This record gives sequence, C-alpha cells and structure tokens, in this order.
Amino acid sequence: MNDIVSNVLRYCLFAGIAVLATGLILSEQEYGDWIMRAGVLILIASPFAGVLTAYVCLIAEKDWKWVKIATVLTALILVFLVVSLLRN
Amino acid sequence: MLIFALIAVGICASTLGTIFGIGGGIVFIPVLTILFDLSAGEAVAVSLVGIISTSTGAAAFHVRRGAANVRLGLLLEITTSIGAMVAALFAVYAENWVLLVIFGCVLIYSAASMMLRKERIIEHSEEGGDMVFSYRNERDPAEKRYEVRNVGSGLLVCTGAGMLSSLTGVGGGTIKIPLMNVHMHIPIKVATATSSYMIGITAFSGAVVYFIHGDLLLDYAAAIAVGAFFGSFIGTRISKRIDAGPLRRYFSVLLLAISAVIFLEAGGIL
Repeated sequence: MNDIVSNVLRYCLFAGIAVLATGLILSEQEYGDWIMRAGVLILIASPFAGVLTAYVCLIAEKDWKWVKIATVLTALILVFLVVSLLRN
Repeated sequence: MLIFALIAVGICASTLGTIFGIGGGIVFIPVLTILFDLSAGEAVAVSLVGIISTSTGAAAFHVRRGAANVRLGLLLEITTSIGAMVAALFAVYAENWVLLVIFGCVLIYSAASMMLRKERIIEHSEEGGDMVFSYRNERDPAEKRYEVRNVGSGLLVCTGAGMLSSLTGVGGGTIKIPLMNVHMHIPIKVATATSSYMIGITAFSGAVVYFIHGDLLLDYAAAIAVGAFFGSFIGTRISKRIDAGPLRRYFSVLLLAISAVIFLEAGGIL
C-alpha cells in the first residue's frame, strides 16, 4: 500500500507543480490564469487522491477494520465539502 | 521580482514545515500578511495551497520509506476533521484572542512535556496486535515495532486540535506531534511523518472551498506552491540526517517560538 499511495501523491504533486510553473511562465498571456487554475486544482486534489488510493488498497488487502475507518473519513471529507459549499 | 520573493518564502517555510511535520502555515500567514500586504483571508487561502504542496511532497517521501503510518493517519484524521467541522459552525461565537491564548498555553505545555519527559516507545510488542506497527529509521535500517497506546484519549485530543487549528488558522501539527509522541508513545520520526501526511488532508477541504469561490490569488498561490515543492525536497533530505533525540529538542524550541508568535498575535501586536 505504501508504495502505491506514495506514487499517487508524487505523480499528482509533480503534475500540479509542472502545470503551475508553466502557468507562472505564461502568466502574461491571456490563457495563463487558466493554466494556473488547472495546476492548483490538480495540486489541492492530491491529498484526497492519496486517501482514496489508501482506501482502495485497504479493500484490496481485505483489511476490513481499516476499510471502515477509511470509509468514515472519506464520507466526512465529502460531507464537510458539501456543507462548506452550501453555507457559503 | 515578487514571484521570486514568494518562491523564496515557499522554500524556507516548507523546509521548516517538512523537517518538523507542521506544514508551514505558521510561517506563511504572518509573512504573507505583513510583508506582502495580503488580507487575512487571502493569506489563509494562499497558505493552504503552500501547505498542501509541502505536505504532499513530504508525505510522498515518508510514506514510501514506511515512516508515515497511513492507517493511523486516517484514524486520527477522522476526529481532527470532526473538530474542524464543529469549530467552523461555532467560529462566530468565539473570541479569537482567547483561543490564541489557549493555543499558546497548550503549545508551552507540549514543549515542556517533550523537553522534560524521555521518549517512551513500547518496542517489544507482539506482532499482529491491532495497534502494533513497524517502521525503519534511516540511521538504523533494522525494522522496529512500536505499539500505539491511549488511542481513545488521543482521538479525543485530536478533536480539540482540529477545533483549535480551525478557529485560529494555526496548523494542528503543533499539537498532534507532541500528542502522538508523548501520550500515544509513537516514535518522534513516525509522528512527524504521519503529521505531514495528515496536514494535507486537513488543508484539502479548506483549499477547495476557497478555489471554488474564486478567492484564491492564483499567481501568489502558484509561486508559493512551487517554492514549497522545492522546500519539501530539501526538508526531507535534512530530516533524514537528524536523530530522534535532537529532533525532539529542536521541536520543543520551535513550539516555544510559535507560542511566542501566537501570544503576540493574541495581543494584537502581529
């Protein structure tokens, strides 16, 4: 599980930073903001991608006790997101 | 010029945040508000992106080498998130300076505990227990087992850490690391690595909300994130070379410094 979670975090981070750096270089251009927006989105999604990957790995390992814990956390994050978006 | 200055801030804050597993928000927010003249809201939004970059870089490294405990991170993150959610609902009723003073006192207590108490790790637990895990230390490659104790009370304190960090904007790592190390008997190296993994998850929800509402200064966030990326790379290399004993001492000193900043903020000086 550790290797897979680490790889997902690493690839998401590298992708996000590469897109952000490109956006910074092209920030004077009309589409520079859109590139940075895409980079930020990839970057901030990385930790949640890590949680989802750990969740899938735990299911694959049939480690049901920790699957329950990961389910609760994933549900909580989603509820928090929805509540925050609705309140604002 | 501004972009390079922001990248430099990202590198410095992230290096510090990665070594100690605290994310770097304690550096990002005062620097962005005081030196770069951002409003508190703008600084928090940019800081969250920097924290995610720092935390993800550090977590990718620590998870691969087995120092970060992913399972434990998922468990502790549940009550931390609940604390943050509850605090977000009641934030309007709380006086910020009172919370900051409470937080400052908690940090001083944590620093004193780490300085005065020796690290106690339950090393020789039987394999296969529910809360028995193992890790490898760079300085000593033999696999070491440790047992996590006081899980119930640890989860409860994490709720408090989530509440305080949500209300004051200071990362929960400063409370969670001493809690994991002193109260739950988790080795300091594992505690800092696991904290790095957790901090990104905590920051994710907040960052998404700022992003969707368009409250994020994109060029500031991009420059800070790029700097933080390099900082996390430097920080992980430095943390590999620091032994557990000195790391605990340095962390205690850092906690005292952070509590001083928090008291200044509570007094309206910062």
